Amino acid sequence: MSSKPTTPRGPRGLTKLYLLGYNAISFSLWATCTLRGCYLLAINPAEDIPTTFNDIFWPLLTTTQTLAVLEILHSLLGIVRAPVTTTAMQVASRLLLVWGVMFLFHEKGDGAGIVGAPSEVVKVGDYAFLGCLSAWGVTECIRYGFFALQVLGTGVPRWWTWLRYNTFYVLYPLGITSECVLVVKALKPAAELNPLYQWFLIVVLGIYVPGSYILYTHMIAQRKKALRKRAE
Amino acid sequence: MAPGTITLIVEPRGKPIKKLPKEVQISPNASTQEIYTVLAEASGCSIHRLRITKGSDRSLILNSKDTKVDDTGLKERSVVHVKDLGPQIGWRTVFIIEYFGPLAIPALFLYPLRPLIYYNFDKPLPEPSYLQQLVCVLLSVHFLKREFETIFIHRFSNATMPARNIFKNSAHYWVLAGLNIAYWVFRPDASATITEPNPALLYTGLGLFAFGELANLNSHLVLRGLRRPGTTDRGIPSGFGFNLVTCPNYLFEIIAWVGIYLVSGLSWSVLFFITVGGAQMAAWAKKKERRYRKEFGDKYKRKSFVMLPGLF
Repeated sequence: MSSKPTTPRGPRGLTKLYLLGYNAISFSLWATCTLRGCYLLAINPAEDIPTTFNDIFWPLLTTTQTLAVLEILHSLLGIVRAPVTTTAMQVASRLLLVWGVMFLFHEKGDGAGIVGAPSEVVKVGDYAFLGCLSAWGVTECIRYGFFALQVLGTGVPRWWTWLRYNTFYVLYPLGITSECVLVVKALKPAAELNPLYQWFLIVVLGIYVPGSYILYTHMIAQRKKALRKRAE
Repeated sequence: MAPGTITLIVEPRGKPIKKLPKEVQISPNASTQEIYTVLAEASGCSIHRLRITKGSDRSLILNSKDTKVDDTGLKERSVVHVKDLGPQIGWRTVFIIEYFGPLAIPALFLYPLRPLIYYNFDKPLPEPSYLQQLVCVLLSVHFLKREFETIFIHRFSNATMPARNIFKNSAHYWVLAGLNIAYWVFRPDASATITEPNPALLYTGLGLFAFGELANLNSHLVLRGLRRPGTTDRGIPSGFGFNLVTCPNYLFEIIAWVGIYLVSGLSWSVLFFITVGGAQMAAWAKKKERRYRKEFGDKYKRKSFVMLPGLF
């Protein structure tokens, strides 16, 4: 009998269990955000689009997205291979959107909110929110599912790998555009909150252009690397 | 030395085993199971605790009726290593304990323990909603069926596992399927509390659940049919779903759980259990496919997908 023991690469023991748990939780949460979004859009009439935000944002989306902070920690501790700076940039931009824009400036009953207002008129912010939700949701489901299977060591199906390294071509621009729209919409209420915060958001918009370029090319590089590995 | 027998040198591996003989005499035509029986008897150690390997290449000597001592390449004065695996527990016992948690927890959470668990919500707590009671019924039915299958349907190979493993295995079911789902779905502010459930979600969910459970039961009956009572026979299964994927029982199980997910009003806790369980089942299914291919060769029609048709 000549069964060559395949040396399992990647995390082992408790780290493996933890990473599997983290990725499976994140996958479940993001899939639920996405599916609930689809479901609400399907059952509600078009003028009720803002209710999607109210249903999903608190506490589901906030919790789901905040959990990603752990990813910076994973990268710092070296239990995953992702570079710290790129991870931190990605997570920070999401947190800014979720807490610094959506949380601060959503409708609180005075009609001034940029998203989630229960009015007949659907605001631009509501569409931008749907843009974010679909881009983030789909990307994250694919990404966390991919990681979960990778950590488990069963191998990732080919079509899943394909999704992982191709969907971003469409979803990144959609996500980034929606995010920028929300930040722009937040400028006015931000000025009322504190002029400094408005300036901060303007700076953020300035960073978004080179930042999104870096993330986009990072993904393209990752894609090339992954395709090369598969070809070997 | 009796005529027609060989002497094997017996050495313990790991912890010393009391009363383990230094040598054992056996006929080359005897089954390898006999080595196990003889050594278990002599050392007073349960047969399931022993693991016997060849001294020369460390390969495992199966506890099997169908392998002859001679086939394993053991010769006169070959060395065998014997390891005590520690206390063992039968698969059936483990299964019964595993499923008991998620069988009992939903009803306990929804009724008697409700005020204790949701102590931080405004009093009085609203009555359990229609959907919450329905999810409780579905969960209980699912695990009741599992207990039933464990006791009356599954034919286990006589394999056992280390007794310690019961904690690890139970944790998955008790925590993820029991506590976690019950807590989130039965919360007074869960999405399952809506008074007018969406019919599309509800009836699709119930349909998937009923189909999944019945089809899963059917696959278990097919698998049972492969093994005569009291044996560890193996065979190539055929029946509903078995042409599609290697392990349709897992496929149908996932379908049933997706049904519960829909009825629960898309609670992430249910999807989380599906994800973790699905990943584990995917790994098992892959192993199973490899095993079928190795064991039955050309007789086995290779499957392109092990668990989810068209996907995995």
